[in-house]
Amino acid sequence: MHNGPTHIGTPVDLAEGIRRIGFRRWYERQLIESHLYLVSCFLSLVMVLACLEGFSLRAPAWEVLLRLAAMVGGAALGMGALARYKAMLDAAEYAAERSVCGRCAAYGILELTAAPAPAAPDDADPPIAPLGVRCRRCGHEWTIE
Amino acid sequence: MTSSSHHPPLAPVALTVLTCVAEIFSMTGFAAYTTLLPVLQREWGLSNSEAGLIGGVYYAGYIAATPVLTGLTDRVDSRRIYLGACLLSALGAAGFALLAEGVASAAAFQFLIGAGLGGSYMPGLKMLADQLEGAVQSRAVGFYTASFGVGSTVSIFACGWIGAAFGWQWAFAWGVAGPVVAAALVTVFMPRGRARAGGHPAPALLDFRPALKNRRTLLYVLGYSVHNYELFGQRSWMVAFLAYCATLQPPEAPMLASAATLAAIVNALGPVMSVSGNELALRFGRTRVIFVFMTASGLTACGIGYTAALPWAIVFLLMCVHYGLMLGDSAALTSGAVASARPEERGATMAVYSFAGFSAAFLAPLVFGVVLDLAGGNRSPTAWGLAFASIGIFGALAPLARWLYLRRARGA
Repeated sequence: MHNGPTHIGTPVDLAEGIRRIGFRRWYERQLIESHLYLVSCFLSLVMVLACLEGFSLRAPAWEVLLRLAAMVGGAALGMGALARYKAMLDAAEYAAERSVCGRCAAYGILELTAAPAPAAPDDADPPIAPLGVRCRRCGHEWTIE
Repeated sequence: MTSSSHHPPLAPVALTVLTCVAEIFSMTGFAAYTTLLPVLQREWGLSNSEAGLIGGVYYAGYIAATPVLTGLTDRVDSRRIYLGACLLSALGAAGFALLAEGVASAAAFQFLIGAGLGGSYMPGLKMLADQLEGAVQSRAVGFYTASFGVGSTVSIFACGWIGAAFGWQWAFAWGVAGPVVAAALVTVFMPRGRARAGGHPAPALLDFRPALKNRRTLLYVLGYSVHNYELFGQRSWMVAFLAYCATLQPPEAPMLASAATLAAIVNALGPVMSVSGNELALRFGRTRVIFVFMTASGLTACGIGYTAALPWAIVFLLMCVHYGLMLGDSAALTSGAVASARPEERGATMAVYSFAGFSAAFLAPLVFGVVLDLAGGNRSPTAWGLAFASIGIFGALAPLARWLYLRRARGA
């Protein structure tokens, strides 16, 4: 059961990702998916600019409204995609920076030790919540937080 | 990392010529759409917005492909990526020639052509750089960088001529033939590139952290962004500026050539200055030469917009000087980025480099246009002055940035 937030890049996804496909592949998929959001953002920007280029208040009312709707829609879509891109990238990088074993320095060879722990009260809203992991090479345990 | 070859090793000169020629061929479809836009607009009844959308999607293809395909060259032989990208370009151009009949289909095929360029330009650079080292590598990179300008010029002229003589579909057919020739050249003659040795785990695709942690590389990335910002802003508006200049000339001393012709002459300086700047960098030190060119170019840009009312020959000369200064650091920046990257991270480094530079290039013409409009429109000399200053300001501030960086580095 998912108790935490459900968007991609959350601890639940990280935990599930580690369990199902391993940390490294989870990380790579996050990067690829976030890149697709960036491309979507760029396409939205192109659409907004294209609509803006031909915008004229002297055009028929329906055309003005259509262009405005396309620009507002494109801007909203682009900003949403950009926010999603940033959130996914932040979460992926945050987890990746904390996935090097402190004992044997192996990177990303992890397995879960426990369900996601609750965040500390003074936590400054990290991209992912704490997650207990163990190095599959040397058995060293730590918390990604 | 290991390097092996099925082909006999090529001399550096032969290798450079081969890569440059392949690059020029791979770009035959680069300017097909923009060159034939008036014809296509008329034939399909495209509005300016629709035409702009199709043009913009090309860059979306580039931005989608560059980080992925260039980053992949750290895992896979660059030749394979290059061949795949040529195939994409050829498919896009073939689709455009045979199937495009409106906005949606044209945009889809433009996306493929853009992605093809994204997968051939920087992977081609890596393919070349992996075979060479030291000053030879720097010089080869300089020529390769300059070949981009040659490729775009050839594409404009060839597509324009073929389109006028045989119809736009044949211009796109030329866009199919070029990448096929490029792919054949690379397949037959290019030695195998670096491949990751067994036991070294491949980094995640699009994981650019190692490249971003390399401070030397980051400086080149930043410099390239500034360079591209100024270059693409100037390139996009040069014809319009010269056309405005023509309207200010007295009737007894009009411009002797059209604005487009003068702009083409200015553009022709690019490859020469790019290669020359790189040679100066090898002789006098890369950082010093880059900063001199960047600062001089930025300062010139800050003033050039105010000169529109001067006699056209002087304006033209100033445009040549500015363009030359602007291109003087182009190859030096790219060869510096290649040289500063660790070989096993070269693909990721070039992906970051190209991505950042392209983003700046995309923004510059927009900012230029906005400043021009806000400052009084394209009939105001002050507006032109401020618009040019908006693209030159970062170069003009380069010495300050360098001073701050050095001060911080000394303090650290």
